[in-house]
Amino acid sequence: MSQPTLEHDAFFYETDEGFVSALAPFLREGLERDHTTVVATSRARIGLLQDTLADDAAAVRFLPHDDWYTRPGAVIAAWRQLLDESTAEGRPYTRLIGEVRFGDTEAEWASWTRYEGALNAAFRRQPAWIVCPYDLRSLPESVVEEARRTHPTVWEDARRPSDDYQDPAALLERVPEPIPGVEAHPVLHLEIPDGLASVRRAVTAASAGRLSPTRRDDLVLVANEVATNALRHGAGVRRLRVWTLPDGVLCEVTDEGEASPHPLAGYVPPDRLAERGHGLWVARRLCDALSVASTTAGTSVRFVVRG
Amino acid sequence: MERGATRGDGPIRDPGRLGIGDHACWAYASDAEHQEILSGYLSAGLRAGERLVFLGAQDGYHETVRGALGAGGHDVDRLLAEGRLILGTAEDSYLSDGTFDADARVADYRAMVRRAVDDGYPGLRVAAETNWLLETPHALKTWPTYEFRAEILARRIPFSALCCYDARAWPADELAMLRSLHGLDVRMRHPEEAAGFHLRARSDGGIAVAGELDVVHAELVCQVLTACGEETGAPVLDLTGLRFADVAAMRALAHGARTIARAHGHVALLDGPPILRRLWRLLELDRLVPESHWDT
Repeated sequence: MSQPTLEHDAFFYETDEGFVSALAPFLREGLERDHTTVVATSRARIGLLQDTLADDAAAVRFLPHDDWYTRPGAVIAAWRQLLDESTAEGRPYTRLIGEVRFGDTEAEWASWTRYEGALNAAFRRQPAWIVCPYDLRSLPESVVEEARRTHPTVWEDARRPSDDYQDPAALLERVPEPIPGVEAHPVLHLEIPDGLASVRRAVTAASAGRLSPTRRDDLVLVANEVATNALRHGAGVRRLRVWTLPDGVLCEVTDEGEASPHPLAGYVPPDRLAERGHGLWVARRLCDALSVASTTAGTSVRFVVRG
Repeated sequence: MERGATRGDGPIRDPGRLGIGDHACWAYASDAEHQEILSGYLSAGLRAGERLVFLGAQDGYHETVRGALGAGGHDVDRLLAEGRLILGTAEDSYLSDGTFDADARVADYRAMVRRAVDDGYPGLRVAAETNWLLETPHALKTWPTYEFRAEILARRIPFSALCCYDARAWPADELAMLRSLHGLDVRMRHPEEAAGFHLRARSDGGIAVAGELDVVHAELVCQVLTACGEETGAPVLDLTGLRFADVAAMRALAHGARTIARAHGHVALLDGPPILRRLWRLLELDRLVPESHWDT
């Protein structure tokens, strides 16, 4: 038998009964086979599942999704940890139900659509079945359409391969990371010399009074890692620019090189023993938004930290 | 807790204050300064009754020492005859058989210290020139690790060392990095200003990392810590003075901590700013060293 690999379904439902009647059996089947079973969804739907599963619910791990879906990078890391724990416990397989909290803005929709696409690459080789419920009553049409592109399998009346599935790298290139617009004049503009200390000092100074100490530390670390990449992999003059937002700080690091980072950079968990690749992985988990754009003029990385 | 040290981890202006347990870097930029500092360091050793070793760049350097000690009223020939002063050249001492063998050198110093103590001296005081390294690429590669082994050694046996670097000959970056691997720095405002970070041995034989450490020196610190972890006198990696560590640096520190833990069965990580622990968790470094080793 070949090794089981990732199954990633978009499950479309229009009624609570439809939700429960498909997903409760999905969980029960998992429990019968000694699979790890985890559900992240709203408290209301957690209640529905618990009522239906009755005593069996005790063996399922429930995560209220208001606390779970914080930032795409952080959620991928949290799922990975969960999958690793499952393997470490000797479970053969993991079944996850993850109902993304898509939010109310187009920026959030894009950000979580990118997350859904990236999951296919991040957990490509995991023995896991991830089912993502989409509530057709409340979600905008565009989000539902994208779900057909971010999931290899769709589950409506029956499970079947999605005709519209798009390769994750292509999807992430097509759907750009939403990033706030900026005013013409940054509060800070700096050419990055060889040392990174000047970047850290500049970002610390520019974020004074705008961010909590914890979020300022996060921003300084992210700026350091992005600047490290620019110095290592970029070319020409590397620049740092910083703008303040009403609720946070936006930074941009540019270089004049032709090397363009892979669209999935920072989304796919690096091998823990690998020497490289951890910087962007950590940056994606700490930032509220991080976008990478490559043009003929070079590469530009913009990132936002709020709060 | 560190017991009262003869030294802090700060700068030192007067080389006469250096004593047993001290491992100091001294970057000099003039011949006049050279004589003054050497004289101060070695005279203090004579006052303390220690055995002195000076390893010059070439024989000519011995005249500097003769002049310096002679001016202080010491009979240099008698000191040599009594075995209180030993003069040699750094190149001959460090490059036996033409190659630099760090293990052999450390063993050598241990033996010399033991002999000094057996002969009734309270300890051994060494000053050594380092110019020979600039023409010896293979030795230069392992030198940072060797320097830090000397740093730990000085905390564990009655030994002190003044490492003499001619700032006119050494590339500034390299010299700054090497200065950061000495507990003390003669005539510098603060050691960590050189390369941004500072590594030193605590008085209990543990290791303390201070300043800001990033990808530029992460690999070096990883090499030094993994090479020296087994030689530490206490299973302590003290990060209380570390203001910043990036991803590469944190991974380097975790590898170092693991080496110490393997040698001692445990390592205590002394906490610095909260971002360090956050980053430790983000990088899942508890897989290398369980988070229970953190000590707040």
